[in-house]
Amino acid sequence: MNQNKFKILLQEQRNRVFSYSCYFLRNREDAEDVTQEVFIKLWKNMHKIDKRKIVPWIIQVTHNCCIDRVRKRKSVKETPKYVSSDNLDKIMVKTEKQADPELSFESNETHQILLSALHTLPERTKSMLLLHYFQGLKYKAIGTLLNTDAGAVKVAIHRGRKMLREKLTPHFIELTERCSDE
Amino acid sequence: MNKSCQDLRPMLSDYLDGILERKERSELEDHLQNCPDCQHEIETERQVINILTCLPYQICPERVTQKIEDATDSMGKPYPYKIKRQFHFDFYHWKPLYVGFALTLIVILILLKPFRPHNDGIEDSVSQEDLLKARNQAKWSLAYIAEVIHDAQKQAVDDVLMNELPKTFRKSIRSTFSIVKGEKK
Repeated sequence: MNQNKFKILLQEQRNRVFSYSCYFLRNREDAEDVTQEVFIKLWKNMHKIDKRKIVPWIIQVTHNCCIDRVRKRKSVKETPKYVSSDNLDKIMVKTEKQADPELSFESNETHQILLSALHTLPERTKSMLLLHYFQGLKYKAIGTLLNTDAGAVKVAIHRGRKMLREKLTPHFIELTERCSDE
Repeated sequence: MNKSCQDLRPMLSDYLDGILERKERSELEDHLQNCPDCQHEIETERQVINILTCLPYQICPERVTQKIEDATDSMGKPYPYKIKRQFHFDFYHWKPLYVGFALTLIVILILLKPFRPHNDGIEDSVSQEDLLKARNQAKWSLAYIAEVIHDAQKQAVDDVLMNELPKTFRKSIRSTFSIVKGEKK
């Protein structure tokens, strides 16, 4: 693969890598580092990767880099620069879908709460949820990536979903009440 | 929550994943129509899934892309992939070579045989009678050695039977084979 094709791939996949790292690490600087690391690894190993499997390879390497980062944090015991709930909206991007400011506000608020809840889950459950719903991987693919079977992935995802539901229920009730007041 | 809720709630996740059997699905749907608790639960879970699925993509900053491009430019082209030809030490693969080598060796040995010095020392100096005597002597010696070994083995077995085994075993063996000291039966 030549440099032009690599640049096209970079343009196509950079947001996917950056977003996953952002949501996983909850830190923009770390996510930027991970994105760089992933694409430099891709450039170095381009000749070894099957062209049809480049995207799964990118997802796998992104996940591994994120895990390495988390481990590094734990070993160095550095305080992760988590985005606080006040400026969490900086991490959110206003997409075209959220043109309505009211909708945008509500959706952002829900996303923030979801992200906060997501980070209280165990590392493995969080990664499974993100890989399944955000990256669109199937249970089997996640199982291969995380060295487990599809059944275990399914169970963990269901459990994670239940935990998120329990944490988000008060917020949904509040939203419903707010809507009914208006 | 009634009993039916308890039975059906574990199915909610499968229902949302769309992997529930038709019979169970219709059963659950019937239940959902009459149970506001389960309805609420399923709605909340559906919302969670929607939010997770619709998490927006973050825009990767241009400077990151620029850094990656600079780094790859400075590294140059990645090492081209070459399939290394490996030496397979496989007998079947190299069989013709081995056979050829063996045949060449045989031919060389045949050709070299006439030049080998003729050995006429030992065979001529010993007579046929002496050879026969020596062979018979060797045969008797071997027979004697075999007999000695056989005796030694028998002695060892008798010793074990008489001395090493517990009293009860010895009694039972005696009653069966009636071993008496000095006699062999």
